[in-house]
Amino acid sequence: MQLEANRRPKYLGAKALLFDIRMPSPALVSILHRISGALLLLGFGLLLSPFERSLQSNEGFEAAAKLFEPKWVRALLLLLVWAYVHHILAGLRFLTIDVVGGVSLRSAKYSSVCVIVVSLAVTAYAGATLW
Amino acid sequence: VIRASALHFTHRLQWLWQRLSAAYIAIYSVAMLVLLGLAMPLTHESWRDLMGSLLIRATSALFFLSVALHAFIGVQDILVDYVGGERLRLGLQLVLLGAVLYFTGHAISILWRL
Repeated sequence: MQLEANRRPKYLGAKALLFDIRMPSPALVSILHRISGALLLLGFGLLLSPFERSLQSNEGFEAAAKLFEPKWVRALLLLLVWAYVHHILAGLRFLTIDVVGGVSLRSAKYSSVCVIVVSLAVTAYAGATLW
Repeated sequence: VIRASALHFTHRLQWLWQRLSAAYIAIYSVAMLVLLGLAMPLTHESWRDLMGSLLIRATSALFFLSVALHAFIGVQDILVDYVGGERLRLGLQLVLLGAVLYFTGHAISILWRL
């Protein structure tokens, strides 16, 4: 009995989490909600000082604007835009589920795919405007 | 027996504050996006005038407070789920609390000096 229990496969490694476990879209929305939330906290921390400088003086404003000129900074900014939109949409979805109560598997799948697709679409639109 | 650390307020209060702050953040964000869109293209003067009005300063201060509270509760949930060691978790919670307080103080001081 003991032996058999030990031979069962363990799916807890990073490789298993990333590649072996098939994540249904609601699970993906949930984990992305966490990741985007953590990213947003970091982003807010980083953006506070350019925000401060942009308000202090005309030179500060120019310097803050210059900070966002490199392509990689804009890419990071776009990542934050995605995180913001995904976090808000996924949050609204969770709130709706809280209020409405038990939802069907079909609506759960549909709404989670909607969150993923819409947040990516908004990010693409923001990217097109940024560039 | 519920063994919650001192940094935990009760779960139901967390749940409520998390959602209240989220609602405010969402409404503020959309309103701000509209105001920024209307103010485009932005110069230092128009940006300062926009942020400098009493209404925007007050609502922005509330926004930063909401973000700090929301982030504190949210990251704490992540820590509780993924960090097993109680000592390590308490340490990380203290770091989080320090970071969030620093962020809030910095943000409010920026608005105060406008």
